[in-house]
Amino acid sequence: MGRVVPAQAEARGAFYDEMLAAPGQPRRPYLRIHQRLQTLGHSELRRRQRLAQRVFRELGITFTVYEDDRGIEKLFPVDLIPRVIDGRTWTRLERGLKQRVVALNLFLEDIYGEQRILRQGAVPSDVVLSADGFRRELVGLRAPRGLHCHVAGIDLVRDHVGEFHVLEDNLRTPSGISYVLANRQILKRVVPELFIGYDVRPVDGYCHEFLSNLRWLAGSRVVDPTVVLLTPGIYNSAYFEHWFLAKQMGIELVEGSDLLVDQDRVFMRTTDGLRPVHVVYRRVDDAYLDPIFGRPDSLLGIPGLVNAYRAGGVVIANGLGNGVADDKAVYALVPDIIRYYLGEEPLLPNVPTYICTRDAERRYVVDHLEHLVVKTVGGSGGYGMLIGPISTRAQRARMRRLIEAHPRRFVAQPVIDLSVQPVLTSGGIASRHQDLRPFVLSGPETTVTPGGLTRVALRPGSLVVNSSQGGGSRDTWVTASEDGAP
Amino acid sequence: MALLSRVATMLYVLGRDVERTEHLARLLRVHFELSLDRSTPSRRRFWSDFLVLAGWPVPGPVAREHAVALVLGDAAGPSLRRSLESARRAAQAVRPSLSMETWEQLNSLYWRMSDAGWQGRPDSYLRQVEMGTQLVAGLVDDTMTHDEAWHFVKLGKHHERAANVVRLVTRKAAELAEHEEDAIAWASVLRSCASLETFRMRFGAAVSAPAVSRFLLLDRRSPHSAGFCITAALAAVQGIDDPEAESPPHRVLGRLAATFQYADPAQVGASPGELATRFDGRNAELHQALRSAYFQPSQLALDPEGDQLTRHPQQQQQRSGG
Repeated sequence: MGRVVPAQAEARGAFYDEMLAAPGQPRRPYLRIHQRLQTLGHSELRRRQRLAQRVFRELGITFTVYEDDRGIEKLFPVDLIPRVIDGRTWTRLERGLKQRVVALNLFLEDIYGEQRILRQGAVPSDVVLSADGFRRELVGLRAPRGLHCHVAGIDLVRDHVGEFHVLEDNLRTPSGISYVLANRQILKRVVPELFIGYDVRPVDGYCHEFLSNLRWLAGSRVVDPTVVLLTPGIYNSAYFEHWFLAKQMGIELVEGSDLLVDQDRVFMRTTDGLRPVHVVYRRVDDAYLDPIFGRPDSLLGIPGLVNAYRAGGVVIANGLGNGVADDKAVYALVPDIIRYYLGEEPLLPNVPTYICTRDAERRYVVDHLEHLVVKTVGGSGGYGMLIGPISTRAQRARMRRLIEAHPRRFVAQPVIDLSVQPVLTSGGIASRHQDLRPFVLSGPETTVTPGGLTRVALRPGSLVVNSSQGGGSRDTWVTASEDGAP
Repeated sequence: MALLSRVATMLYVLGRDVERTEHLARLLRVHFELSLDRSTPSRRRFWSDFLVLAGWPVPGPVAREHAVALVLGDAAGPSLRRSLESARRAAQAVRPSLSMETWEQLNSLYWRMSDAGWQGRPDSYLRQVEMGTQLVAGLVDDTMTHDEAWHFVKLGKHHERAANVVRLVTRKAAELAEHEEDAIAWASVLRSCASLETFRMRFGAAVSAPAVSRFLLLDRRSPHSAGFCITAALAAVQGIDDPEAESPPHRVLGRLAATFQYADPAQVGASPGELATRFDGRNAELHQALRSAYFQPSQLALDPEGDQLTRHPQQQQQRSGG
């Protein structure tokens, strides 16, 4: 079996190390951090790391994974070494992210409206209209204020020369912002000395900004709109994030059974009768949101909610049908989407993507599986991926059959050399791969919370950073200074 | 601000199950300590009586180790772990309504108790649970706004405590009736209700069955008497309801409180069972009233400000059915 990815990430050189330009030589923004880490020493750092994990557990910052139908509560491990992004780099990223999300919102408004982009042939309509996430029944719907995506989590990776690429767009129910907020809190508590002299931009503004956007969406006719967060409930893997955000925003955390729809308006059941609800920030997927519209067996949804949304009786954030823009084959078209709506060149490059419904591309993919990463177009959480270089012959044969049978379900990309950064392990400092998920809010303005969630693959050499697959995270600093140095 | 009915239910469950956990822990510890020396009359049914009291129906005599393992172990049934888990689950469901301190203590208690083993030293394990649940209860009072949400926690707690005390006193009265006056056993009943000290401060060292029954059922100032708890539950309902309206739970609790306030102490001391029977009857009514008034209100009439809609659930059902 030919290996393209070295099994041990320690083999530095092939990957961009965010912290070290060469062994023992920290990059400029990391000089002080590096010094302070050495002063603290390994055993002290390990002690503080354990303290951080204990605090996380006591605060209830856990997520649930399911094994054999049993939910097991796990900690999302946090590494104490922050990632530092200098002001200049961030300004560039921020511009690229805003550009992308603005274009994707215009795309969604168009796709569920006149479909000009398809009629003018700027992107192939067969790819767009065959996306699972495209909800034909929503065509003609006018989204409140013309916005479909109110919060997006855009996954970025850094290649071997340190250039950022967009790996995925998450426009449905992106999670992780609570860890951004919690990681910052925990770092301040556990390693306050690391902050000294760094002018780190705060992340606390997220909840306030998001809530004021959600209230703005309700429109001017509602004076004091009621905003709620709809959760699938305490057994959902992201439940921590749901209650955390509800608490931070001071809004009601509701489950499907708390709401009912009457004459296209939404109400919550209280001890004092029914109370109107104007905006639903939902963390329930489209398919489960309304048993009339999606899965009839959904116990999480609210019958009639989608009709109420269609009739303008309630705002749902994120909007319905955003999955079409998350589709990994449509992702390949995003540079064209940006050019079409904004008349600009994309500021952030995509990762080259092979669309398997195209004969030539599919032939290339099935012939080069061992060098490619194959993803399902609607997948998330790292499930159902094939990482060619570390796959077995049998796995590749199976994938080849699947691709031939269901070409629309798969895309392939070259293996991206995710950047690395040192993490603390029991045995000392070791290098691990990571990505970055910044959160982009759309309201009266488009804003990006400084930094985002850096997800770290904790297994040596692993390229999969998803929490469900054993990933962790670290605090991500954006410095006010241009070069990141304190 | 009105509460979601589901949240109200879960807050009630939280108050109830924190109290249940504390009571069960203390009950087991008192029995455990009692069984260590000869202060237990060598009654064969000592541990099976305990298990029945704790909600485990058992057919015959059981050994101490078995009883302790049932309540502290993993078996399906009213175990300590289940009630603590249930309290934590309720807290999770209403996390945004709780103070950070309340949640953190309850959650950390849950993890400490899951990590710690009880084998070998059940008494110290149980003391930790008692202390932990008391700390949670104190934090509820001291860190949460005393609003509707808080009143639901208090309602659950006081309702549970009243029921526990009534059950304990009547069961013990029945058990101990066949034996000659047993001061040690009655003192342990007081200890099971964290009331031995307060009792002695009031009445001195002499413990008698009628005095204990009167104290635990009727005393107006001891926070561990059933009468006190019913009055406190009534106050909680008054805090929840619109002051103008008189809800069904208010009426039921008001009548129950009167029953305890104006009971004849001599009669209650002589046969506590009668008061208990009346309590049980009203208790069933109370459950029904709580459900219909707060937890699953059938009154879904809409009358929020600025909304002229007025709909009733029957119509709602008909529309969605049709």
